[in-house]
Amino acid sequence: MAAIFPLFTPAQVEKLTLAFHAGAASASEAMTKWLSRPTVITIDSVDQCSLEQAPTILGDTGDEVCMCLMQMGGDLSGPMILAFDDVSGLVLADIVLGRQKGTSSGWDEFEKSAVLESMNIVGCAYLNGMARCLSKDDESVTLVPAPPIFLRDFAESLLQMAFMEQATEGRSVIFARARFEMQGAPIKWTFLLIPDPPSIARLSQLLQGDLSSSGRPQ
Amino acid sequence: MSKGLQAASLTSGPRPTEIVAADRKVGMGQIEVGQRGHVLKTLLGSCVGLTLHDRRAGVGGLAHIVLPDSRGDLTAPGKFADTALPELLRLINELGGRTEKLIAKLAGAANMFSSEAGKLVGEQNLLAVEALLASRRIPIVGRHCGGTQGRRMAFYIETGEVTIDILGSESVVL
Amino acid sequence: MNRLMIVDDALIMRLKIREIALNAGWDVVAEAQNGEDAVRLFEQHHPDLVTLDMVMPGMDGLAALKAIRAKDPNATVVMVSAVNQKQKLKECIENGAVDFVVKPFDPANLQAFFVRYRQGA
Repeated sequence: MAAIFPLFTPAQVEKLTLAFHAGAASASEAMTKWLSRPTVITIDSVDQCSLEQAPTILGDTGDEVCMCLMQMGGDLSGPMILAFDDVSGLVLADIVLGRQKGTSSGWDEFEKSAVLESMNIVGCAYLNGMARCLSKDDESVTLVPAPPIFLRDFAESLLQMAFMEQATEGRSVIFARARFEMQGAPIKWTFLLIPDPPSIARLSQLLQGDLSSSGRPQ
Repeated sequence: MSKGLQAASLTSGPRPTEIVAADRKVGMGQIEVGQRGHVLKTLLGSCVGLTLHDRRAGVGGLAHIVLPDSRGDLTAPGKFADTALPELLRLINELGGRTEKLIAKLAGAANMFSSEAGKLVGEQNLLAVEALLASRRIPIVGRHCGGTQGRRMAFYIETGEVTIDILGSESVVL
Repeated sequence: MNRLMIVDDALIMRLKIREIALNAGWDVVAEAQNGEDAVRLFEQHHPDLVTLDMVMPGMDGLAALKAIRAKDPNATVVMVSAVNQKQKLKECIENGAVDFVVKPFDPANLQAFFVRYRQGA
């Protein structure tokens, strides 16, 4: 990947990627346990693109998308997003609610609650993994999110909002992306973590020294 | 049969000599101008979509404005209200449109995450654009702003119509 | 007495915990979706046990824990949360939580937990 963002050295980019890997691994484990079936991450990356391209990272067809969004708090801030189309989201809802596949047909209270709690679990797990990785003996990193909200709208409109803080700082954006797939089910869920500018600066500080080995629970 | 009109991206580079009919997508922080037969489209959240139209000349443009104030940053004119309007006017003038004949329509400035920060940026974008248009005496003849939902905006330069699509609602024509 | 209050902003989680608790012989006397309601309902019902989520709108779980323990230093509160970070766990224990269950939990483990606390109650 080309020079990612002015604040990060190549060594820091490597460590940042490790931290996001730790988050993604933790999230995958949590999702598998929550759904009681294997859930894997097929894409797990730290990406950069122009501000113009940012709203199209989920596709540029102009289609609508569902999102569960949680704002990060603590040492880092900015939105975390679990994005999915109606089909993938309702499949998730059926699994969480213990219903036969195809039962959920619309976004009522139960379906929304199911996907929102899934986001809570995945988002917190991601932050747990990152926090473990970024913490050092003399400096504990705490990452605690706000409650999730459910949104359904044009994907590009939602992503514009999500990248707005980074938009104030420059012409390119940086984000972590993970895509979940589940064995035997036609679902695709995309997880995005979009640090705001103060968090990018904070990450630069946190990435100065050595990271916790493997980010495993201590 | 005449060839169609190529939607010209005149934000940089020389003016094309051949034009072909096409929908032209305007990305975040970008500006596009065109002539009769062009349709300029964009998707909006908290950003403001500003269209300017000179009906007589058959020329118009759309700016997708992200933030109100460039603070002197000239590297991305379409991104900021205070640089987008002069640049949009310049491009429209180049195509033969006249500033004194222009009318404006606005859309966007939504607060989709129901946050204080989101509300603020939408409001600030709108106020900045309105003030700049007023300073140039360009009337705003249509608007669809605020709320919490995204908008799909399409500007038909042939007729000057701007259609706004919101999920779950009827389309609105400005 | 085995009177339980469940505090979680997620409907699905309140339902799951409720079912497990009922199977373990507990009576669910109140359910709250946020910290403010949790404190108010605690005062009203004085449950023997509270399961308390951490991430909630308005007053969060840690603030609710402090408020409940301030009203009743003997209140038995168990945190049930997806947040699993050293500093946060430490804060909860320091403020009087007796235990911490990490989401997603194994239903069998949670049931055993409720049985254990019922016997101790």
